[in-house]
Amino acid sequence: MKSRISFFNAAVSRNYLRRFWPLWIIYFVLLLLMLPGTVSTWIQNSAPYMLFDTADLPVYRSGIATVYLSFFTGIAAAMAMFHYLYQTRSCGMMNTLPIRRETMFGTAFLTGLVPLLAADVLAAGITALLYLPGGQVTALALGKWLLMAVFTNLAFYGFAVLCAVLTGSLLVLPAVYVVLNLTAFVAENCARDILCYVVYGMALRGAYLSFLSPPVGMLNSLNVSNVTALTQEGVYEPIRGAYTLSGLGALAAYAAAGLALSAAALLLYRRRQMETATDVVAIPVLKPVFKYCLSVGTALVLTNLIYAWFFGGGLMSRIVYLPGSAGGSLAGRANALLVLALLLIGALVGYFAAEMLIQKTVRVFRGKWKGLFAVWAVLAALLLLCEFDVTGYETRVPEPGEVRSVHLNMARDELTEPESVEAVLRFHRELIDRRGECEGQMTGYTAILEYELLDGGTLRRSYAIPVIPDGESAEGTLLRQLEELINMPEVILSRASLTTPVTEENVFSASVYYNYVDANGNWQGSSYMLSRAEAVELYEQGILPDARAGRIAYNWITPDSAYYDRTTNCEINLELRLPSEDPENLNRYATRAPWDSLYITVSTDSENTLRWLRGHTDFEIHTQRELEELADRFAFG
Amino acid sequence: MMIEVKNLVKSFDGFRALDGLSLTVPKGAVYGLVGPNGAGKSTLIRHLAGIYRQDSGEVMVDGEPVFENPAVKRRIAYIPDDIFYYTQASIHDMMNLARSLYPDFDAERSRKLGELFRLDERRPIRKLSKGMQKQAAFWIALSQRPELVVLDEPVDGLDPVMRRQVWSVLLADVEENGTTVLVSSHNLRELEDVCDHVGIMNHGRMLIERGLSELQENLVKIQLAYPDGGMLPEGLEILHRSATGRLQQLILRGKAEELSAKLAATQPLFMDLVPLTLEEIFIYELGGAGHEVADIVL
Repeated sequence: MKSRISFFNAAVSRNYLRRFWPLWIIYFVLLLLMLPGTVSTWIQNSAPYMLFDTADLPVYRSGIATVYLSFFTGIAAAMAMFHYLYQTRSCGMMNTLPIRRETMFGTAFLTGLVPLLAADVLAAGITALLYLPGGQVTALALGKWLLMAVFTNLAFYGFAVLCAVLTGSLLVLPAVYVVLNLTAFVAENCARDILCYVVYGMALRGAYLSFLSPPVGMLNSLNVSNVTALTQEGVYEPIRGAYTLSGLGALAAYAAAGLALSAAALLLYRRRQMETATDVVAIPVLKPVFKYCLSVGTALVLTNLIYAWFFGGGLMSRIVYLPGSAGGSLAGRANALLVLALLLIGALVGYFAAEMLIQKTVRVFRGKWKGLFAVWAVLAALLLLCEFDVTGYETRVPEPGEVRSVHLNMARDELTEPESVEAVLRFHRELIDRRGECEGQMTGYTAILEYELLDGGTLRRSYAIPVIPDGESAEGTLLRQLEELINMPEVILSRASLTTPVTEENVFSASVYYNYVDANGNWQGSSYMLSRAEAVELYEQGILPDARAGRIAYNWITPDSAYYDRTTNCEINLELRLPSEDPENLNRYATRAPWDSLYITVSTDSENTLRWLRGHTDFEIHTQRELEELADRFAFG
Repeated sequence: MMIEVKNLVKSFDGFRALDGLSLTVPKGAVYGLVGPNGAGKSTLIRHLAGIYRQDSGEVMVDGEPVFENPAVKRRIAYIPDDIFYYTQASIHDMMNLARSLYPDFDAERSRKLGELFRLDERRPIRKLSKGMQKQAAFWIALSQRPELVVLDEPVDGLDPVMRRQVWSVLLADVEENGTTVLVSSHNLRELEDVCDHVGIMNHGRMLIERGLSELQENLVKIQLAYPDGGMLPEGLEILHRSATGRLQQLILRGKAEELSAKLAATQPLFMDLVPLTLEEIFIYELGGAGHEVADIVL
């Protein structure tokens, strides 16, 4: 008769604890260093200069750091608890014990997890005992720290346990864990980079799949910031204990996913064939999945890596140092052929590496090519689709009648005036006609054109406009066309516009920065602080009329532009915040309140602004060239 | 405990290690499992120990499946050829684990067995010799008072005195408690001394399974010499034949009395019936299954 199913066996658990206790002790010591240790150091270092008296900030930061710690302890604990699965002898011994698999799994799972959670609680408890009575930390911050530690443990340990069940090799387990933790992030970025290498104008929005890579998703979600306020004395100070932590909900979701993956691991464990000990892939049906995924994954990563090695750019250049020159790459068919060759080589390497791992031999080349040919065919077909622009992506330019608005990355708002839209469309068509000038550019000015279409769709393209070497004329170049585009009146008006109403109450700070050459010929800078009333007046009487006329806030990007002759030495900074409706609230101008800012340079034709400045300030207004010449006169007598 | 295995099939990556194997071990039997390398003995034993899940077929002990059945596994002790122990564990540690998991663990018996084996309980097992590790395995296993003992090459590494003592304890258990023992070994001479049942496996199947005496009765080794012109009678099932001068040595399938009478009728000059050893039975039975022993000339 079968016994009742239990999920825990105390004898086996005790045995594990007796053998692997250093793991949890090390984890606990690291937690002590991370939490009470950090808080203590922070208090000691900050005490003389402390503006406010809680150490919640390091507590939150320590909580975010548990993402890194749990990432490693999760896999370490799983390796320890499920170690017996990876040796034929130990696997045999453990499975002869009169314990059901559910019990064996539950015991290993809980024995690995509970001490981790206990260490979390203990570290938070010790910190509470040391610093709560004195008010150096708040209970809320400690509670949130504990939640972060617990959630990250649940997430990473759960994921590690699933990995532990998927493989039959202790050496492969950490590799599988790291790879699976980062697969979505790396694969998506590599695929995006490769698309950008071969598709002209390719522009993709932010990453969609990063959340499937837990460490990346967690770190992207978690954010801590302190809340500041304008006090009654008019001083801008952080509020005591007023920190905000965002991302705890996302962390809870990862923890839930970790538990769900643990449940999946249990189901797999119950069906596991114990003879798979020492196999790289312990679940037979996953062997082809592993093989094809490794093949495609290696193709993507290797292509990205080698491409970046020679030409710079891409994800790999951001992760590791690569000597690739950032000057450019191949263009046209040669570029596509290079990418195709790299993809095929990468697929071959990954495919046979997977075969070698699965079969545990290097003699895998005979009779195993059919699957590789399939991978090659798919990769080649996808690349050819891109190269021959089967979808018409590269040449698509919307008709003026299709466009509701267009957004340029150098403008703040969408452009809707027909003349502006038509100008952007003309530039877009020019970019397609003169494709050869832009292809292969890894650097330069990036022009991102984003159309909102009348049918509700969007069309987004990105082009690298080549820079013009010093001394060469910009006349007729794409860069000059771009410069003209970004200095159209509507674009200028969008750059000078603010979404927050410019009222005295909303003005948080305002100043005019100007530079000058002093009596010794040195460049100096100074700020003229504007009162709230002055700021509103300058904006309404100077900046806004000039912006409407397209005579301010020019953006010069060509080397022979009129920058030196038309730009003055004045820059206007304006910061607006929406205060709380309650005037007694100290937190009226909290940093997280909606805010807006403006930073513009004043030009020689900014008539209204210049008139206001000359009427209200006493510093001298010059063009940049005049200042350069003045400085030169001092320098060369 | 009675073992019944029916049509057991187990494949590893397409290789059929067990191919419809059936086996029956009566309660209280000492069953010797023999077969050439790769016959599937260890695979069968791992099914009996509850390690492997069969692809198809049944593995029953006392009418219940072994796999995922703690109630049955509590009554089974398994000693593999290659013993596993935790790296830092001493005999004491492993004994404690067994005490917690096997309700029939007998502390008094453990103490008495300790006197027999005379091992340092506190010493890490990894620091013991291979033979001592095997002794430790027997010590722990027999302390559980198992009703079924499954042994894979059990006495490898034990000195002759310790072998005799281990077998003596095991056979006493069989005698007194009706313990069933299934033992796989290539040491056929030893098996012959202790087994009452024998199963010969080949290519994942059970080739022959009988009581040892029955098996010995069914094969006959005869030495005989004929005068010139003398001939063997028709209808003999000859498994092996060799000759030195006039003296012939035959391994024949059949009952000794019948064969003796039949051959005597041909009036040989000399005839002698010699008892077959298990090793000879093994060799000649397998010879019939395509495992002829080649006369290798180097």
